[in-house]
Amino acid sequence: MKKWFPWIVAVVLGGWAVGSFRMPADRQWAIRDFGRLPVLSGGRVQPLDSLARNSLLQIREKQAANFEPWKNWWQKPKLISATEWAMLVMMKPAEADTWPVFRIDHPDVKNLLALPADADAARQTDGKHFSWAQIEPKLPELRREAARASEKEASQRNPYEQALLHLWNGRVVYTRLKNALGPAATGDLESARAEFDAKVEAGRVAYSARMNKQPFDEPALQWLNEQIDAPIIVPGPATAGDRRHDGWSRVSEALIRAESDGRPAPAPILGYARIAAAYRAGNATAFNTAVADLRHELARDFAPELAGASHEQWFNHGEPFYKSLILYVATFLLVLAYWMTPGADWLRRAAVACALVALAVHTGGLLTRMILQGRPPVTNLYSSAVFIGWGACVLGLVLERFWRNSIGLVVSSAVGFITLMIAHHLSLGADTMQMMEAVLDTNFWLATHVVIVTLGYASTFVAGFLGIVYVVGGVFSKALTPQLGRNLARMIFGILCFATLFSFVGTVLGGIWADQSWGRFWGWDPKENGAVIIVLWNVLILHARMGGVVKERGLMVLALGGNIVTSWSWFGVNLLGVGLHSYGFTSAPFKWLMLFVGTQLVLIALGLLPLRFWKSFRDTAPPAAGPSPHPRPARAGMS
Amino acid sequence: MISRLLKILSSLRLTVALLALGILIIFLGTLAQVHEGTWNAQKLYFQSWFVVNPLLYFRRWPIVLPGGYLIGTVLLVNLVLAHFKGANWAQRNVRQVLAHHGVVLPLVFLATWVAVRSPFVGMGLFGMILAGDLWMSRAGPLRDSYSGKKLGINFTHVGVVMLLLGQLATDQLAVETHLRFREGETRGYTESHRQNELVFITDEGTDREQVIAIPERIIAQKAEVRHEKLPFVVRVKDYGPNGRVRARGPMVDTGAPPATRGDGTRVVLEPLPEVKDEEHRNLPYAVLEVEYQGASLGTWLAAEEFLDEQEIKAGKETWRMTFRLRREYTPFTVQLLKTTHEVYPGTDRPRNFQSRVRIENAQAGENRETAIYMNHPLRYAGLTFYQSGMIEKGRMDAGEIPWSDLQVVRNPTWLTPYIGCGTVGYGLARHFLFYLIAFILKRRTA
Repeated sequence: MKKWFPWIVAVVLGGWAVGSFRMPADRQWAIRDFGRLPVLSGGRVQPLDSLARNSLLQIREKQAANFEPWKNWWQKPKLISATEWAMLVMMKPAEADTWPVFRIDHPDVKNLLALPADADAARQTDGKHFSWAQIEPKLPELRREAARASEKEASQRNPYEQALLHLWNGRVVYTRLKNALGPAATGDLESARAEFDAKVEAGRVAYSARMNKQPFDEPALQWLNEQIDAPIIVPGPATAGDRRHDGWSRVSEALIRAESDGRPAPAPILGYARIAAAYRAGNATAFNTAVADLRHELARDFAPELAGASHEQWFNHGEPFYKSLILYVATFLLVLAYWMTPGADWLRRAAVACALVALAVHTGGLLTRMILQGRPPVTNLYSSAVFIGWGACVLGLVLERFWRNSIGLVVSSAVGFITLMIAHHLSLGADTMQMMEAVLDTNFWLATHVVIVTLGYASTFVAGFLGIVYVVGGVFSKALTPQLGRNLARMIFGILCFATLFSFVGTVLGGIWADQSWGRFWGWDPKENGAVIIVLWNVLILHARMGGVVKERGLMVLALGGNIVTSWSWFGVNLLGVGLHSYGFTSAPFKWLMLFVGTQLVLIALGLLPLRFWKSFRDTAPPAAGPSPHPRPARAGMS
Repeated sequence: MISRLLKILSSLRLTVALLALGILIIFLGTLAQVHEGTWNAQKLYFQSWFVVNPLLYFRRWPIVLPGGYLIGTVLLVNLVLAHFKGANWAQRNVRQVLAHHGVVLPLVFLATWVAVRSPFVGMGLFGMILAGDLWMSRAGPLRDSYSGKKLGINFTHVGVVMLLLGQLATDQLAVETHLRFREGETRGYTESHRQNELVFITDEGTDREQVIAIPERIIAQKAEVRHEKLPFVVRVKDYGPNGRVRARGPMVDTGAPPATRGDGTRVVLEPLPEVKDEEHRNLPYAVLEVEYQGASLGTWLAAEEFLDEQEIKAGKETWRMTFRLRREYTPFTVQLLKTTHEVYPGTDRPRNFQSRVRIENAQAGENRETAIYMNHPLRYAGLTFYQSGMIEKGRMDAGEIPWSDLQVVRNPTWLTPYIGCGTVGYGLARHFLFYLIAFILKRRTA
C-alpha cells in the first residue's frame, strides 16, 4: 500500500484534473453553444463566455453570479454561470437589473446610494451585493461623485474614491454588455428599429448642438455614446492576414450603415434577433435552433474564429491555474504529514507525485494560453506571476530530485501557491489576454528577454525561499541539522548561479531590445534599474560567499534580501510609475508589497539573532558567543 | 603603504562593498526620478562622481554619496587588480591561458557580431563554441588546466569591463536628436531635444543659405557676440531659460514692450521657471541689441515661442533671426512619404506606427524608399532612425496632414554593449555549466 500510495495519489489527482476539463452538456438551453459565439472585445476575438467572465470579475470579483448572496452555501443559493448571466443582461435587461451582482464594500459608497449596509436575510440582502435597480435611483449622485474622483490623480484618491470609480467602471462594463445586441435584444428587430432610428437621430442632433455650443439633450447624447462603446459582435467581410477583423462592427453601427446603404440588416444581427426572441419567449427549442443556425451561418467565413472561441471557452471552464493552486496546497499538506511522520518516505514521494500533477496542470494551462494567444508565455504582469510560479515549481522539483529531503517540495508548493494567488488578484482588473502595444509586439523579444528575465526572478525567489526554510527551521525547530544547513547553502549557491545568469542575460536582452526600438541600450528607466539591481544583488551574494565575507548564515540572510529586491523590481517600480508623487501609498498592491517586505525584514532579523536563540543550535552554540560578557540563560519563552 | 593599498584595492571585500553601494545608488537614483525627472536623476546619480545633498522623499539630506562614475571606476580598478593578484604566473599556465583565451575570445566576439544580424544563427554559434570549449577543458587537452577552470570567470570580467567602458563612451559620444515632419516634407537636418541655438540666416544665391548658429550657453552669458560673417555686433541685454510671450492687450498692458523692433514690440514677455521633467520643454528667450557700424539699430526679442523668423536689415544686407532647437545638418535628405497609424479594432491601443520615407543622397548618388517602424529602425550614414511619435489617430482620420516623429541617434560605440554582453553571457554560462557538469559527474560516481 505504502509503496503504491504515490501512484494512487498521482492517478486520482490526475484523473480529477483531467476529468474536470470536460464541459458538462447543456440540459435545456444551449448555453454552452451560445457562450462560444465569437465577439471582438479589447482588440481580440474571444468567446462571449470570456467577455461575460471578465465583466463579472470587474463587477463582483468572481467568474460566476450568485443571485441569492444572502443565503449560506448549505441553503443552496441560486448560482448562475457567467454566460447565463450575460444572456439575461443582453436579452432581458429589465430582469437582469433586479439581480444583486454589483459588489460594494465601502460603507460611504453604500450610504451615498442609500443601500442597506448590513446583511439581513429577511430583506434578502447580504449588505455587499446590490442590483442595478437598487443603485439606479441614485445614478445622478454616483455620476457626480465619480466624475469628481476621476478628476483627481490616481495616487491622490482615497479608498472611498477608489471604490466609487470601481463601481463606476462596473456600471460601464454592465451597460456595455446590455447594449451588445442593440435593438436586436428585443427579439423583434423590425418594430424596435423605428425607436432605434429615432434615438440615433436625437443623439446626432444633440451632438451637433453640443459641437456648436448650444443647449443639447444630454440623455440622448449619452445613449448614443453608450451604443458606440458596445462590444463588437457583427463579423464583417472576412479578409486574409492580420487585418482580418478590421471589418467587424457593433450592432448599432452595422444597422446605421446598412440603412444608409439601403441594404437589409446583416444576417448575424437577424440571427441574434431570432435568438433573443426565442429566449424572451422562454422557448428553449427555438433558442437552441436559432443558436445552431447562427453558428452555421458564421461557420462559412469564420470557422477559425468559431474554433478559437470554443477552445478558449474550454480553457475558461477548465481553470487550470485554479486547479494547480489547489494541488500546490495539497502538496504542502502532504509535506506537513511527512514531517510529522518520521521515516515515512512514501508520504514525501506522494507529495512529489502531487507536485508533478500540479506542475503538469500548470504547464498545460501555460501552453494552452500560449496557443490561444499565439504568444510566448509572458505578456503582462498577470502572466509573469503565472510563469514565475511555474519556473519556481520546476526548480523546486529539480532540487527535490537531487536532495530528496522535501525542501524542494516546500519551495515548489509555497512559491507556486503564492504566485498563483497574486495572478488571481491581477486577473480581477481586465482581460488577461489583451492585445499588446505596438512596441511590445514582437514574439522574438517576448520569447527571449521577457521569459529569461522572468526565470531570473523565479530563481532568485527560489533561493530566497530556501533562506526562509533555513531561518524558520533553525530558529523555531530542531530540524536544522548541520548537514541540512550545508545542503541548503549548496542549493542556494547553485540556484543563485543560475539566477545570476538568467537575470543578467535577460536584462541584457532587454537592453538590446531597447536599442533596437528606440535607440538606446540603457536609459536608467525604473524597470531597467530594477532588473540590474537583481543582477547586482546576486553578484554581490556570489562574491561575498566566495570571498568569505559571509558564511552559511550570512548567505541565508542575503538570499532573503533577494526576495525584497526581486519583489521591488517586479511590482515596486510599477507602483512608482502610477503615483509619481506619493509612491502610490494608497494602492492595494503597495500595501501587500510592504507587507511582504516587512515579513522578509523580520526573517532577516531572526536570521541575525545570536545562535543561542536558535532552537536548532542552542545545544551546540558556545555559551559565550554573544557580545555580552555575562551570557544570560536562554529563556524558554523565546521559542 | 602601497602594498597595503593594493591589497585593499584588490580585495573581494571591496568588491562586495562597491556592489552594495552600486545597488544603493541605483535604488536612490530610481526613487529620485520621481522628483527630478529621469534625465536629471541620471545626471545627478549615475553620471557623476559624488551625489551631494540628494533630494529624496520631499527633502534634502545632508549626506555625500559616491556617484556612478566613482563606483564604476573603483570597481574597474578592483576587478583588474584582483585578476593580477590571483593569477597563477607559472609559464605553462600563462602559455595555456594566452592560447586558449586568445582563440575563444575572438570567436565569442564573432558570434556576438553575427547574433546582432541574425539572432538564431548567432545563438547557434555560441552553442557550438561553448560545447567545444567545455569539451577541451573537461576531457580534451586542457583537462584540469588552470586556463580551463578560469576562462568563464575571466570572460565574465572582461565583458564587465567592456560594459563599463562602453557605457562611459556612450555617455560621452552619443548624440540624440529627433526629426519631426509632415507628410510630403523633406528635411536635411535633425533637431536636438533640449538644446537651443540663436541663428542668423541670410540668402546666398537662390538655393543656398548662410547660417550663423550661436549655442544657447553663449547667449546665457549675456555677452557680446561678434562673428566675421555677421555685419553687426549683437549684445545680449536679457536672457531667460524659459518664458512665454502673449499678445499685448489694449488698455491693460501699459508697460514698455520687451523690444523696440520686430515682433517683440507687440507682445508681453512672461519669464517662467526652468522646467526639469521630460514632458515639458523650456522655451528660452533673449533681448538683443544690434549695433551696426557703431550705431544701435534697436532691440529685438528673440524667443523660441515665436515661430516666424524676424528680419534685421543692416546696410544692404538682410538677415533673418530666430531662436530654435539646435540643428544637426545631414549630408542627405529624408522625405516623409506616408505615415501609417493603426489601432486594434474597437480600442485605441496602438498596433502599428510606420513611416515610409525617401532618402536622397546626392554625393552617393542614392535615392531610395524605405520604411521605419517599431523595432525596425533605419541605420544610415552613421545615424539610426527610430519610429518614436506620431499624430493621434483621430486627428489623422479627421483629415489633418499626418506628422511623424523619428528619434535620431548617432552612437559610434553602439556595438560595444553587444560585444560586452555576449562576452559576459558566455563567461557566466560557461562557468556555471563547467561546475554543474563537475557536480553531476561527482554525484554519479558517489
